Amino acid sequence: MGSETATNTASTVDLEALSTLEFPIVEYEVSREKIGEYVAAIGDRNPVHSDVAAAQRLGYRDLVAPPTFAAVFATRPFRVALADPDWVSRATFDPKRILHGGQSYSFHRPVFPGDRLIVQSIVEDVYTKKNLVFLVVATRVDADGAERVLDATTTLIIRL
Amino acid sequence: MNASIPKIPAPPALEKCAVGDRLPTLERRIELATLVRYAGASGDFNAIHFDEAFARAAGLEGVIGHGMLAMGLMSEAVTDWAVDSGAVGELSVRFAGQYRPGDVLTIDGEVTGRTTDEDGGVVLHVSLTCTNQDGTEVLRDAKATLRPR
Repeated sequence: MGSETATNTASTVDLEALSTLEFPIVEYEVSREKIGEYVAAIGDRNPVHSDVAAAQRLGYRDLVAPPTFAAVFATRPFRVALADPDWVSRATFDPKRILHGGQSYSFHRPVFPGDRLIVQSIVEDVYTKKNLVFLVVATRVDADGAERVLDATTTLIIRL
Repeated sequence: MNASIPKIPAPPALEKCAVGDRLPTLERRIELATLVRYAGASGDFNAIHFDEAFARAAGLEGVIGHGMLAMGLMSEAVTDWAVDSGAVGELSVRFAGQYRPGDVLTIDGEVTGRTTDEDGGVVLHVSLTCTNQDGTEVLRDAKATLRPR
């Protein structure tokens, strides 16, 4: 991430500070254009993801975002936080030492163009294993009107 | 985006799928350009995914691919097969190994379980693998569930 924000030194991670980290709530509006960009980047050829008529033949109102399109918006609270030097100094870790350890999604319904999503993340768990700190971030995504769209769990690994 | 919209493939009758059914193999060569496009599309601009000098300074042997791109291809293998991507209930992976520009990722999957949910609906459980051309495991514990509509 941004190198100028990497002010923390290694092996000084404060687990208590990690467990109380908060993330900004992010709003995200889904567009056909952005889904199309994602589909092209991945190389996905499923017409349900790019052709409204094909999606409608399956009973959908519009084309369907690929499930992992969630990567575009579900990580935004974390990314916005990482871009804030004050947040990074509170976080006590060096952003350059983060690895993505695991990812899971649970979908309540597909994501469609026009969805106005509210993305909220919390720290669900912090634990250490050998020279690694595991930071588990739980993210819930609702459409406006508080309809749950998906839950995401991101496991980040900080190398000490 | 596409000059011609591909025909919708004949989907399997998901509700009839059985344990042992295999998904078609998805194979994809990853170029540096693939990673640059993915960075732009996903918003993940961590320079270890496109800047060789930055990646080396970060202690890597060179540019590595996005874990989430590998997960995206794993998801694509599932939705290419199922066609109805709205049937996907859960997706989960652990990022086990790195891959680099020039690597060919291969994703295979198999139906490993068939259960019913509290409403009596069928739930298919699919386990997948994602390796590069050397057999290095890129994703581990890659799993999906589908609820045929």
